[in-house]
Amino acid sequence: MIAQMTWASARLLTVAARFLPADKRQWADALQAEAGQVPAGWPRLTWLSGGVWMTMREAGMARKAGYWIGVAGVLAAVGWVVWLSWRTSAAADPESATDRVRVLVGAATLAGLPWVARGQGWFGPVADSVVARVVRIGGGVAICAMGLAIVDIDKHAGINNVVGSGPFSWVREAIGLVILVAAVAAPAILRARRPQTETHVLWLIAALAGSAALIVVPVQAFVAGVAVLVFGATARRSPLTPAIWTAGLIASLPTAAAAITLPFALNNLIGAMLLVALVAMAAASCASAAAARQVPDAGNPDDLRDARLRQGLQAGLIAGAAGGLIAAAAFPILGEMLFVGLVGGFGGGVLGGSIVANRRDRPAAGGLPAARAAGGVH
Amino acid sequence: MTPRVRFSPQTLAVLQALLTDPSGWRHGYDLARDTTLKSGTLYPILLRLADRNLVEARWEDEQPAGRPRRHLYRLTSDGAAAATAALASAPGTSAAPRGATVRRLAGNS
Repeated sequence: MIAQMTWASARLLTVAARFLPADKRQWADALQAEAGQVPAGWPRLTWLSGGVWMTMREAGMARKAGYWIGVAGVLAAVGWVVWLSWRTSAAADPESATDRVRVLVGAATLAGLPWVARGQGWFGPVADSVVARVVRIGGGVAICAMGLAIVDIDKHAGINNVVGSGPFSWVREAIGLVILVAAVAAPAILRARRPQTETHVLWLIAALAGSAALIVVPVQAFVAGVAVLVFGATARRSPLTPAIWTAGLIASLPTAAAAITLPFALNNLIGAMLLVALVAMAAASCASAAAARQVPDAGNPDDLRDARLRQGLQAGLIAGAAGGLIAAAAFPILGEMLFVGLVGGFGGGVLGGSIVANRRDRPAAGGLPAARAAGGVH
Repeated sequence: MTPRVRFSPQTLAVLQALLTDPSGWRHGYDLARDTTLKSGTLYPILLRLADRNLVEARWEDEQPAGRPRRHLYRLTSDGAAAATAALASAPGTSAAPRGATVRRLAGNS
Protein backbone atom coordinates (compact mmCIF):
# COMPACT_ATOMS: atom_id res chain seq x y z
CA MET A 1 0.00 0.00 0.00
CA ILE A 2 2.78 2.44 1.01
CA ALA A 3 4.67 1.48 -2.16
CA GLN A 4 1.67 2.31 -4.35
CA MET A 5 1.13 5.62 -2.54
CA THR A 6 4.81 6.46 -2.95
CA TRP A 7 4.61 5.70 -6.67
CA ALA A 8 1.46 7.84 -6.98
CA SER A 9 3.11 10.73 -5.09
CA ALA A 10 6.13 10.57 -7.40
CA ARG A 11 3.86 10.68 -10.45
CA LEU A 12 1.84 13.55 -8.95
CA LEU A 13 5.05 15.49 -8.26
CA THR A 14 6.14 15.03 -11.88
CA VAL A 15 2.79 16.30 -13.15
CA ALA A 16 2.54 19.20 -10.65
CA ALA A 17 6.09 20.32 -11.53
CA ARG A 18 4.86 21.16 -15.04
CA PHE A 19 2.70 23.93 -13.54
CA LEU A 20 5.70 25.62 -11.91
CA PRO A 21 7.30 28.62 -13.62
CA ALA A 22 10.39 27.52 -15.60
CA ASP A 23 12.82 29.14 -13.14
CA LYS A 24 11.38 27.17 -10.21
CA ARG A 25 11.05 23.79 -11.88
CA GLN A 26 14.55 22.75 -10.82
CA TRP A 27 13.42 22.76 -7.18
CA ALA A 28 10.86 20.05 -7.85
CA ASP A 29 13.49 18.13 -9.86
CA ALA A 30 15.92 18.50 -6.94
CA LEU A 31 13.39 17.15 -4.48
CA GLN A 32 12.62 14.22 -6.74
CA ALA A 33 16.31 13.46 -7.28
CA GLU A 34 16.78 13.23 -3.50
CA ALA A 35 13.82 10.89 -3.06
CA GLY A 36 15.91 7.87 -4.05
CA GLN A 37 18.25 8.54 -1.11
CA VAL A 38 15.41 8.71 1.40
CA PRO A 39 14.70 5.31 3.04
CA ALA A 40 11.86 3.49 1.30
CA GLY A 41 8.47 3.30 2.98
CA TRP A 42 6.90 5.99 5.11
CA PRO A 43 9.92 8.42 5.07
CA ARG A 44 10.04 8.43 1.25
CA LEU A 45 6.27 8.84 1.02
CA THR A 46 6.30 11.87 3.35
CA TRP A 47 9.29 13.28 1.46
CA LEU A 48 7.45 13.09 -1.87
CA SER A 49 4.16 14.30 -0.37
CA GLY A 50 5.99 17.35 0.99
CA GLY A 51 7.32 17.91 -2.52
CA VAL A 52 3.82 17.77 -4.00
CA TRP A 53 2.63 20.25 -1.36
CA MET A 54 5.54 22.61 -2.07
CA THR A 55 5.02 22.40 -5.82
CA MET A 56 1.29 23.07 -5.60
CA ARG A 57 1.87 26.03 -3.31
CA GLU A 58 4.64 27.53 -5.43
CA ALA A 59 2.60 27.08 -8.61
CA GLY A 60 -0.43 28.76 -6.99
CA MET A 61 -2.47 25.72 -8.01
CA ALA A 62 -5.11 26.09 -5.30
CA ARG A 63 -5.75 29.68 -6.46
CA LYS A 64 -5.88 28.63 -10.11
CA ALA A 65 -8.15 25.68 -9.33
CA GLY A 66 -10.51 28.02 -7.46
CA TYR A 67 -10.58 30.36 -10.44
CA TRP A 68 -11.35 27.61 -12.94
CA ILE A 69 -14.09 26.25 -10.70
CA GLY A 70 -15.53 29.79 -10.75
CA VAL A 71 -15.23 29.91 -14.56
CA ALA A 72 -17.02 26.56 -14.81
CA GLY A 73 -19.76 27.92 -12.52
CA VAL A 74 -20.24 31.00 -14.71
CA LEU A 75 -20.39 28.83 -17.85
CA ALA A 76 -22.97 26.60 -16.18
CA ALA A 77 -25.01 29.70 -15.29
CA VAL A 78 -24.74 30.90 -18.90
CA GLY A 79 -26.03 27.51 -20.09
CA TRP A 80 -28.90 27.70 -17.63
CA VAL A 81 -29.95 31.17 -18.80
CA VAL A 82 -29.80 30.05 -22.46
CA TRP A 83 -31.94 27.02 -21.59
CA LEU A 84 -34.47 29.20 -19.73
CA SER A 85 -34.76 31.60 -22.66
CA TRP A 86 -35.38 28.69 -25.03
CA ARG A 87 -37.96 27.15 -22.70
CA THR A 88 -40.05 30.34 -22.74
CA SER A 89 -42.92 29.85 -25.16
CA ALA A 90 -43.64 32.38 -27.86
CA ALA A 91 -47.30 32.47 -26.77
CA ALA A 92 -46.43 33.64 -23.26
CA ASP A 93 -43.86 36.08 -24.44
CA PRO A 94 -44.07 37.79 -27.85
CA GLU A 95 -40.49 38.93 -27.31
CA SER A 96 -39.13 35.42 -26.83
CA ALA A 97 -37.10 35.55 -30.07
CA THR A 98 -35.60 38.90 -29.06
CA ASP A 99 -34.79 37.50 -25.62
CA ARG A 100 -33.06 34.50 -27.14
CA VAL A 101 -30.87 36.71 -29.33
CA ARG A 102 -30.04 38.92 -26.34
CA VAL A 103 -29.10 35.94 -24.20
CA LEU A 104 -27.06 34.35 -27.01
CA VAL A 105 -25.18 37.61 -27.62
CA GLY A 106 -24.48 37.85 -23.86
CA ALA A 107 -23.30 34.24 -23.74
CA ALA A 108 -21.10 34.68 -26.82
CA THR A 109 -19.62 37.85 -25.31
CA LEU A 110 -18.80 36.11 -22.02
CA ALA A 111 -17.28 33.11 -23.75
CA GLY A 112 -15.54 34.90 -26.62
CA LEU A 113 -14.34 38.25 -25.30
CA PRO A 114 -11.33 36.86 -23.36
CA TRP A 115 -10.03 35.50 -26.69
CA VAL A 116 -10.26 38.82 -28.58
CA ALA A 117 -6.71 40.18 -29.13
CA ARG A 118 -5.48 37.68 -26.54
CA GLY A 119 -1.92 38.07 -27.77
CA GLN A 120 -2.02 41.73 -26.79
CA GLY A 121 -3.69 40.93 -23.45
CA TRP A 122 -6.63 43.35 -23.82
CA PHE A 123 -9.34 41.13 -22.31
CA GLY A 124 -7.48 37.95 -21.41
CA PRO A 125 -5.76 36.10 -19.90
CA VAL A 126 -6.72 37.15 -16.38
CA ALA A 127 -4.22 39.21 -14.33
CA ASP A 128 -2.13 37.31 -11.81
CA SER A 129 -3.87 38.49 -8.65
CA VAL A 130 -6.61 37.03 -6.47
CA VAL A 131 -8.70 40.19 -6.61
CA ALA A 132 -8.64 40.28 -10.44
CA ARG A 133 -9.83 36.66 -10.56
CA VAL A 134 -12.59 37.31 -8.02
CA VAL A 135 -13.76 40.42 -9.89
CA ARG A 136 -13.77 38.58 -13.22
CA ILE A 137 -15.88 35.74 -11.82
CA GLY A 138 -18.13 38.21 -9.98
CA GLY A 139 -18.61 40.21 -13.19
CA GLY A 140 -19.56 37.04 -15.07
CA VAL A 141 -22.09 36.18 -12.37
CA ALA A 142 -23.53 39.73 -12.53
CA ILE A 143 -23.98 39.48 -16.31
CA CYS A 144 -25.69 36.09 -15.93
CA ALA A 145 -27.96 37.57 -13.25
CA MET A 146 -28.97 40.37 -15.65
CA GLY A 147 -29.69 37.84 -18.42
CA LEU A 148 -31.73 35.72 -16.04
CA ALA A 149 -33.77 38.70 -14.88
CA ILE A 150 -34.43 39.86 -18.47
CA VAL A 151 -35.79 36.43 -19.39
CA ASP A 152 -37.77 36.20 -16.16
CA ILE A 153 -39.33 39.66 -16.37
CA ASP A 154 -40.19 39.42 -20.04
CA LYS A 155 -41.97 36.07 -19.86
CA HIS A 156 -44.66 37.37 -17.50
CA ALA A 157 -47.80 38.20 -19.37
CA GLY A 158 -48.88 41.82 -19.18
CA ILE A 159 -45.46 43.36 -18.66
CA ASN A 160 -43.89 42.45 -21.95
CA ASN A 161 -41.52 44.86 -23.59
CA VAL A 162 -40.26 46.09 -20.20
CA VAL A 163 -36.68 45.91 -21.47
CA GLY A 164 -37.49 45.52 -25.12
CA SER A 165 -37.41 47.62 -28.23
CA GLY A 166 -40.47 46.52 -30.16
CA PRO A 167 -41.18 43.43 -32.26
CA PHE A 168 -38.42 41.12 -33.31
CA SER A 169 -36.45 42.17 -36.38
CA TRP A 170 -33.69 40.08 -37.91
CA VAL A 171 -32.40 43.13 -39.78
CA ARG A 172 -32.05 45.20 -36.59
CA GLU A 173 -30.40 42.32 -34.70
CA ALA A 174 -27.93 41.65 -37.54
CA ILE A 175 -26.97 45.32 -37.92
CA GLY A 176 -26.64 45.64 -34.13
CA LEU A 177 -24.41 42.59 -33.97
CA VAL A 178 -22.09 43.92 -36.69
CA ILE A 179 -21.78 47.28 -34.91
CA LEU A 180 -21.15 45.55 -31.56
CA VAL A 181 -18.40 43.35 -33.00
CA ALA A 182 -16.89 46.44 -34.63
CA ALA A 183 -16.95 48.33 -31.32
CA VAL A 184 -15.14 45.53 -29.47
CA ALA A 185 -12.77 44.18 -32.11
CA ALA A 186 -11.99 47.12 -34.40
CA PRO A 187 -9.64 48.97 -32.00
CA ALA A 188 -7.72 45.75 -31.27
CA ILE A 189 -7.45 44.82 -34.96
CA LEU A 190 -6.44 48.37 -35.88
CA ARG A 191 -3.74 48.45 -33.18
CA ALA A 192 -2.41 45.08 -34.38
CA ARG A 193 -2.35 46.12 -38.06
CA ARG A 194 -1.25 49.74 -37.49
CA PRO A 195 0.67 49.95 -34.20
CA GLN A 196 1.34 53.68 -34.74
CA THR A 197 -2.40 54.51 -34.42
CA GLU A 198 -2.96 57.03 -31.63
CA THR A 199 -4.73 55.66 -28.54
CA HIS A 200 -7.35 58.43 -28.55
CA VAL A 201 -8.31 57.44 -32.14
CA LEU A 202 -8.95 53.87 -30.94
CA TRP A 203 -11.06 55.15 -28.03
CA LEU A 204 -13.01 57.39 -30.41
CA ILE A 205 -13.78 54.49 -32.78
CA ALA A 206 -14.88 52.27 -29.87
CA ALA A 207 -17.04 55.07 -28.39
CA LEU A 208 -18.75 55.86 -31.70
CA ALA A 209 -19.46 52.21 -32.50
CA GLY A 210 -20.58 51.57 -28.92
CA SER A 211 -22.99 54.54 -28.99
CA ALA A 212 -24.46 53.35 -32.30
CA ALA A 213 -24.91 49.84 -30.86
CA LEU A 214 -26.60 51.31 -27.78
CA ILE A 215 -29.20 52.95 -30.03
CA VAL A 216 -29.82 49.91 -32.27
CA VAL A 217 -29.61 47.05 -29.72
CA PRO A 218 -29.56 48.67 -26.24
CA VAL A 219 -29.66 45.54 -24.09
CA GLN A 220 -26.96 43.68 -26.02
CA ALA A 221 -24.77 46.80 -26.11
CA PHE A 222 -25.21 47.29 -22.36
CA VAL A 223 -24.25 43.68 -21.58
CA ALA A 224 -21.29 43.80 -23.98
CA GLY A 225 -20.19 47.11 -22.44
CA VAL A 226 -20.26 45.63 -18.94
CA ALA A 227 -18.29 42.59 -20.17
CA VAL A 228 -15.71 44.84 -21.83
CA LEU A 229 -15.32 46.81 -18.57
CA VAL A 230 -14.96 43.68 -16.43
CA PHE A 231 -12.63 41.73 -18.74
CA GLY A 232 -10.58 44.79 -19.71
CA ALA A 233 -10.08 45.83 -16.07
CA THR A 234 -9.05 42.34 -14.96
CA ALA A 235 -6.84 41.38 -17.92
CA ARG A 236 -3.10 40.94 -17.60
CA ARG A 237 -2.53 44.19 -19.48
CA SER A 238 -4.69 46.17 -17.05
CA PRO A 239 -2.78 48.80 -15.03
CA LEU A 240 -5.03 48.25 -11.99
CA THR A 241 -3.12 47.09 -8.91
CA PRO A 242 -4.55 45.18 -5.91
CA ALA A 243 -4.38 48.45 -3.89
CA ILE A 244 -6.59 50.22 -6.45
CA TRP A 245 -9.02 47.29 -6.57
CA THR A 246 -9.28 47.04 -2.79
CA ALA A 247 -9.95 50.76 -2.29
CA GLY A 248 -12.43 50.87 -5.20
CA LEU A 249 -14.37 47.74 -4.24
CA ILE A 250 -14.76 48.76 -0.59
CA ALA A 251 -16.02 52.18 -1.68
CA SER A 252 -18.46 50.58 -4.14
CA LEU A 253 -20.57 49.14 -1.32
CA PRO A 254 -22.22 52.43 -0.16
CA THR A 255 -22.90 53.29 -3.81
CA ALA A 256 -24.51 49.89 -4.40
CA ALA A 257 -26.60 50.21 -1.22
CA ALA A 258 -27.78 53.67 -2.24
CA ALA A 259 -28.50 52.58 -5.83
CA ILE A 260 -30.63 49.65 -4.66
CA THR A 261 -32.57 51.35 -1.86
CA LEU A 262 -33.09 54.99 -2.92
CA PRO A 263 -35.17 54.44 -6.11
CA PHE A 264 -37.70 52.38 -4.11
CA ALA A 265 -37.56 54.55 -0.96
CA LEU A 266 -38.02 57.86 -2.78
CA ASN A 267 -40.28 56.54 -5.55
CA ASN A 268 -38.66 59.19 -7.73
CA LEU A 269 -36.05 57.85 -10.17
CA ILE A 270 -34.51 61.19 -11.16
CA GLY A 271 -34.14 62.33 -7.53
CA ALA A 272 -32.72 58.92 -6.60
CA MET A 273 -30.23 59.06 -9.47
CA LEU A 274 -28.98 62.48 -8.32
CA LEU A 275 -28.57 61.25 -4.74
CA VAL A 276 -26.85 58.05 -5.89
CA ALA A 277 -24.45 60.15 -7.98
CA LEU A 278 -23.60 62.20 -4.89
CA VAL A 279 -23.09 59.09 -2.75
CA ALA A 280 -20.95 57.54 -5.51
CA MET A 281 -18.88 60.72 -5.74
CA ALA A 282 -18.31 60.90 -1.98
CA ALA A 283 -17.39 57.21 -1.69
CA ALA A 284 -15.22 57.34 -4.82
CA SER A 285 -13.33 60.39 -3.56
CA CYS A 286 -12.41 58.45 -0.39
CA ALA A 287 -11.27 55.45 -2.46
CA SER A 288 -9.40 57.74 -4.81
CA ALA A 289 -7.55 59.49 -1.98
CA ALA A 290 -6.69 56.17 -0.32
CA ALA A 291 -5.37 54.69 -3.58
CA ALA A 292 -3.48 57.84 -4.54
CA ARG A 293 -1.66 57.82 -1.21
CA GLN A 294 -0.28 54.37 -2.04
CA VAL A 295 1.81 55.72 -4.93
CA PRO A 296 5.47 55.59 -3.89
CA ASP A 297 7.57 58.74 -4.23
CA ALA A 298 10.23 58.05 -6.88
CA GLY A 299 11.73 61.52 -6.47
CA ASN A 300 10.17 63.49 -9.33
CA PRO A 301 7.26 65.66 -8.02
CA ASP A 302 5.62 65.95 -11.45
CA ASP A 303 5.68 62.18 -12.02
CA LEU A 304 4.35 61.63 -8.49
CA ARG A 305 1.48 64.07 -9.06
CA ASP A 306 0.52 62.45 -12.39
CA ALA A 307 0.72 58.94 -10.91
CA ARG A 308 -1.45 59.93 -7.93
CA LEU A 309 -4.05 61.55 -10.19
CA ARG A 310 -4.14 58.47 -12.44
CA GLN A 311 -4.34 55.97 -9.58
CA GLY A 312 -6.99 58.04 -7.80
CA LEU A 313 -9.10 58.27 -10.94
CA GLN A 314 -8.85 54.50 -11.52
CA ALA A 315 -9.96 53.73 -7.94
CA GLY A 316 -12.83 56.21 -8.24
CA LEU A 317 -14.04 54.69 -11.50
CA ILE A 318 -13.92 51.19 -9.99
CA ALA A 319 -15.88 52.38 -6.94
CA GLY A 320 -18.61 53.92 -9.12
CA ALA A 321 -18.77 51.20 -11.77
CA ALA A 322 -18.76 48.31 -9.29
CA GLY A 323 -21.46 49.98 -7.17
CA GLY A 324 -23.64 50.50 -10.24
CA LEU A 325 -22.99 46.99 -11.52
CA ILE A 326 -23.98 45.38 -8.21
CA ALA A 327 -27.27 47.34 -8.30
CA ALA A 328 -27.89 46.45 -11.96
CA ALA A 329 -27.20 42.77 -11.31
CA ALA A 330 -29.57 42.73 -8.33
CA PHE A 331 -32.31 44.69 -10.13
CA PRO A 332 -31.80 44.91 -13.93
CA ILE A 333 -34.39 47.71 -14.14
CA LEU A 334 -31.73 49.77 -12.34
CA GLY A 335 -29.31 49.37 -15.27
CA GLU A 336 -28.99 53.15 -15.57
CA MET A 337 -27.29 53.12 -12.14
CA LEU A 338 -24.17 51.80 -13.88
CA PHE A 339 -23.91 55.08 -15.79
CA VAL A 340 -24.79 57.09 -12.67
CA GLY A 341 -22.11 55.22 -10.72
CA LEU A 342 -19.54 55.78 -13.46
CA VAL A 343 -20.28 59.53 -13.56
CA GLY A 344 -20.13 59.83 -9.75
CA GLY A 345 -17.03 57.63 -9.63
CA PHE A 346 -15.32 59.77 -12.24
CA GLY A 347 -16.08 62.94 -10.28
CA GLY A 348 -14.97 61.42 -6.99
CA GLY A 349 -11.87 59.93 -8.60
CA VAL A 350 -10.77 63.30 -9.93
CA LEU A 351 -11.57 65.03 -6.61
CA GLY A 352 -9.80 62.57 -4.28
CA GLY A 353 -6.81 62.13 -6.58
CA SER A 354 -6.41 65.91 -6.97
CA ILE A 355 -6.49 66.52 -3.21
CA VAL A 356 -3.76 63.95 -2.56
CA ALA A 357 -1.75 64.87 -5.66
CA ASN A 358 -1.64 68.56 -4.73
CA ARG A 359 -0.95 67.92 -1.06
CA ARG A 360 2.54 68.91 0.09
CA ASP A 361 4.32 66.54 2.48
CA ARG A 362 4.72 68.27 5.85
CA PRO A 363 8.39 68.91 6.68
CA ALA A 364 9.68 66.75 9.54
CA ALA A 365 11.78 68.16 12.40
CA GLY A 366 14.95 68.23 10.30
CA GLY A 367 13.25 69.95 7.38
CA LEU A 368 12.84 66.77 5.29
CA PRO A 369 9.48 65.49 4.01
CA ALA A 370 7.99 63.20 6.62
CA ALA A 371 8.21 60.05 4.51
CA ARG A 372 11.90 60.50 3.70
CA ALA A 373 12.78 61.34 7.29
CA ALA A 374 11.11 58.09 8.37
CA GLY A 375 13.37 55.96 6.20
CA GLY A 376 12.73 56.85 2.59
CA VAL A 377 11.80 53.32 1.50
CA HIS A 378 8.16 52.72 0.59
CA MET B 1 26.16 45.99 3.75
CA THR B 2 23.86 43.03 4.50
CA PRO B 3 20.29 44.15 5.28
CA ARG B 4 18.96 43.17 8.70
CA VAL B 5 16.22 40.56 8.11
CA ARG B 6 14.06 38.58 10.57
CA PHE B 7 14.04 34.83 9.96
CA SER B 8 11.64 32.15 11.13
CA PRO B 9 12.96 29.46 13.52
CA GLN B 10 12.89 26.96 10.64
CA THR B 11 14.93 29.27 8.40
CA LEU B 12 17.39 29.89 11.23
CA ALA B 13 17.79 26.13 11.57
CA VAL B 14 18.63 25.82 7.86
CA LEU B 15 21.06 28.73 8.07
CA GLN B 16 22.71 27.17 11.11
CA ALA B 17 23.07 23.83 9.33
CA LEU B 18 24.62 25.52 6.31
CA LEU B 19 26.88 27.65 8.51
CA THR B 20 28.57 24.60 10.08
CA ASP B 21 30.63 24.30 6.87
CA PRO B 22 30.11 27.55 4.94
CA SER B 23 32.32 26.57 2.00
CA GLY B 24 30.95 23.03 1.65
CA TRP B 25 28.06 22.01 -0.56
CA ARG B 26 25.11 20.26 1.13
CA HIS B 27 22.24 18.37 -0.44
CA GLY B 28 18.56 18.56 0.50
CA TYR B 29 18.13 15.25 2.33
CA ASP B 30 21.29 15.91 4.33
CA LEU B 31 19.87 19.29 5.41
CA ALA B 32 16.48 17.74 6.17
CA ARG B 33 18.08 15.17 8.50
CA ASP B 34 20.17 17.86 10.15
CA THR B 35 17.29 20.22 10.80
CA THR B 36 14.50 17.60 11.16
CA LEU B 37 12.47 19.67 8.69
CA LYS B 38 10.04 18.04 6.26
CA SER B 39 10.70 18.45 2.54
CA GLY B 40 7.61 20.64 2.16
CA THR B 41 9.11 23.10 4.66
CA LEU B 42 12.79 22.82 3.77
CA TYR B 43 12.61 23.38 0.02
CA PRO B 44 10.48 26.55 0.10
CA ILE B 45 12.99 27.96 2.63
CA LEU B 46 15.92 27.09 0.34
CA LEU B 47 14.04 28.58 -2.60
CA ARG B 48 13.42 31.89 -0.76
CA LEU B 49 17.02 32.05 0.47
CA ALA B 50 18.26 31.46 -3.08
CA ASP B 51 15.90 34.17 -4.41
CA ARG B 52 17.46 36.59 -1.92
CA ASN B 53 20.98 35.52 -2.92
CA LEU B 54 21.70 34.22 0.58
CA VAL B 55 22.11 30.66 -0.72
CA GLU B 56 23.62 29.49 -4.00
CA ALA B 57 22.54 26.27 -5.64
CA ARG B 58 24.00 24.05 -8.34
CA TRP B 59 23.65 20.53 -9.69
CA GLU B 60 26.39 17.95 -9.18
CA ASP B 61 28.89 18.14 -12.05
CA GLU B 62 29.35 14.41 -12.62
CA GLN B 63 26.59 11.87 -13.16
CA PRO B 64 27.00 9.43 -10.24
CA ALA B 65 26.44 5.72 -10.79
CA GLY B 66 23.12 4.35 -9.61
CA ARG B 67 21.40 7.59 -8.64
CA PRO B 68 20.38 10.91 -10.23
CA ARG B 69 22.50 14.04 -9.87
CA ARG B 70 21.79 15.99 -6.70
CA HIS B 71 21.04 19.65 -6.23
CA LEU B 72 23.60 21.20 -3.87
CA TYR B 73 23.42 24.26 -1.65
CA ARG B 74 25.75 26.51 0.30
CA LEU B 75 25.69 30.01 1.77
CA THR B 76 26.85 32.96 -0.27
CA SER B 77 29.09 35.52 1.44
CA ASP B 78 25.99 37.70 2.07
CA GLY B 79 24.19 34.60 3.35
CA ALA B 80 27.00 33.71 5.74
CA ALA B 81 27.02 37.28 7.11
CA ALA B 82 23.24 37.34 7.47
CA ALA B 83 23.20 33.89 9.09
CA THR B 84 25.93 34.81 11.56
CA ALA B 85 24.15 38.04 12.52
CA ALA B 86 20.74 36.35 12.80
CA LEU B 87 22.04 33.42 14.86
CA ALA B 88 23.99 35.75 17.15
CA SER B 89 20.76 37.54 18.02
CA ALA B 90 18.93 34.21 18.61
CA PRO B 91 20.20 33.06 22.05
CA GLY B 92 21.51 29.51 22.63
CA THR B 93 21.85 28.43 19.00
CA SER B 94 25.57 27.71 18.57
CA ALA B 95 26.48 24.84 20.90
CA ALA B 96 23.31 22.74 20.99
CA PRO B 97 22.89 19.42 19.14
CA ARG B 98 21.72 20.02 15.57
CA GLY B 99 18.68 17.74 15.57
CA ALA B 100 16.96 19.82 18.25
CA THR B 101 17.66 23.14 16.55
CA VAL B 102 14.18 23.83 15.23
CA ARG B 103 12.34 22.97 18.44
CA ARG B 104 14.73 25.10 20.49
CA LEU B 105 14.57 28.06 18.09
CA ALA B 106 10.81 27.83 18.03
CA GLY B 107 10.82 27.87 21.83
CA ASN B 108 13.03 30.98 21.87
CA SER B 109 10.98 32.97 19.44
